[in-house]
Amino acid sequence: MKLSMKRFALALAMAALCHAAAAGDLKISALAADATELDLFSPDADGAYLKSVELSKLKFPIAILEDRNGGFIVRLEGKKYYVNGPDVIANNVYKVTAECDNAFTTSLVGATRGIAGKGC
Amino acid sequence: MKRFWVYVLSIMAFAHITLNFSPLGLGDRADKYLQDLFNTYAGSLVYGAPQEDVTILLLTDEALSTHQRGHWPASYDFHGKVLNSLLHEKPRAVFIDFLWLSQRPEAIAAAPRDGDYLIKVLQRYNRASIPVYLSSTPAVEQNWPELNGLVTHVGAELRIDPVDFVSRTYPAALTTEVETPAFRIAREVRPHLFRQRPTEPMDVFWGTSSNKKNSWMKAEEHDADIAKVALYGFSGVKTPVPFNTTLYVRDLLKQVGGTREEVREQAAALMKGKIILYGANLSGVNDLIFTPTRDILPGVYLHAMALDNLLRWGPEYKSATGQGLLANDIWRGLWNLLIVLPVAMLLAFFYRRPDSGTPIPDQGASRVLRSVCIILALACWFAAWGIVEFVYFNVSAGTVAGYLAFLTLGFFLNIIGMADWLMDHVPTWKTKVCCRLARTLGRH
Repeated sequence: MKLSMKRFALALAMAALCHAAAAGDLKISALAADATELDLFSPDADGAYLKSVELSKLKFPIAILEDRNGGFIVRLEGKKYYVNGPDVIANNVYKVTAECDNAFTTSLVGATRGIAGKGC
Repeated sequence: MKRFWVYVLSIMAFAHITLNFSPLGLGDRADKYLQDLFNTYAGSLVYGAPQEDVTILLLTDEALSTHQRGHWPASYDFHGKVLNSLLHEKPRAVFIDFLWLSQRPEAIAAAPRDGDYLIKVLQRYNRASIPVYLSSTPAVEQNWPELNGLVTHVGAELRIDPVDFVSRTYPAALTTEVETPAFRIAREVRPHLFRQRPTEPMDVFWGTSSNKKNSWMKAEEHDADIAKVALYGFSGVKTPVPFNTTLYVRDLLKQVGGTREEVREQAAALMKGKIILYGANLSGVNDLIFTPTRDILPGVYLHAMALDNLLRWGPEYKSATGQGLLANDIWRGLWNLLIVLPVAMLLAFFYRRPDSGTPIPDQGASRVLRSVCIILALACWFAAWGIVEFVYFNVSAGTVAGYLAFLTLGFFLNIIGMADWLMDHVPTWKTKVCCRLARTLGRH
């Protein structure tokens, strides 16, 4: 029993270490091909555009704080920004498992869309 | 012999009325319905696979929920983000099927206004020489003066059949200046195809083959039981896996794959050098169309299908009147009658009543067999001419169906009977009237 507990604790520690290493290693290494500036958006839910930074003023790699909805949260000049995933080249791990429903439907509803609609 | 020609003329007169007019709109309805049947069941045979050059980028509820918290209309910054992601894939041209009617909010402090980023992205398209077409109305142009020179405004109106609400017809232009998206894009992307600017409205032919690139999509199975439809007509509507290659905005913004290389390869296959039609399929936003194949699809698919038709057939796209001589009303009327002439002669010959003194032929099984053979021969005759018209004169299947006048064979035969009756009775009436008149005059 003691041995099992030790093994379990060791496995837990290794998993924690791996996760920390993975998160720490996430970085943006370059802009997408042909891009000359990096577009920065608000990390808030509205994702509003804030500014663009020229390629010459960027220092790579840029550490990724969070992988969110296909984009990344980064810190530049002390502020957090959201960066659109396709705009950059990063070392994130691509998932091969589809998470969303691939159904194609058209719903005939007898109402006009309100402010917020349905999502998955 | 005189009787024979009376038969022929009677049938020709009837054919002229049924083929060139549509009493009570019934002929036209039948034509359209048969056109739809032809499209639904012969679509894969006639049309084949979709064009490789067209991809639909579809905004769905899911992407809106993830990136905009489900709010509609989406912010202009969001559209900018989508279009910028697309720009990395170097498309050939982009059509935006959104009516940008929302007024841009005022800027807060020194922050950019919603829409500034969209303008920035469209300027990038401009620098990359990638044409952008925008669905517009005068209100959109007024709302977005900043877009002049960055986008080409194209018409956003849909045409539906007032009787069954099917979107069959796709106009070439709404006014002399404003063209419809498919015609404008096809003319500019493939200028060698169109020596003259097309003006004739297109009868969109819907592809019905399955598209391997859409195999990831799940949809309701289409009930394609032709026997059922032949007996009872179309029933119910469906949303099938679409014919045109489709990519969700969800997957553009959050790309999924085994490795980065794999993702790049997939993205290039769907977008690099392609004509991208950016549209939406959102709950409660009723930009939906009812197709001739009895499917309900987002409106952007009508533009995609029309564009697919134009890239496939060029100026020889299908229309109600076709091209060449047939587009002229007089020639068309004459052509219709010429096709019916052998039919009229055949019917007149076989269904003529024997002259007096000639023994009455056998009225039994041989007559039935003969009738069946005649009907089959006529079906083949009209089908053959229908194919000639569709393939060589680019007349839509609707007119092909019009030629299926053998369906009105019963009417023809009744006309023969009526002609017989008239020929028998008119002389008698004439004699009676004359005699009565003579008697009356004699009395006075």
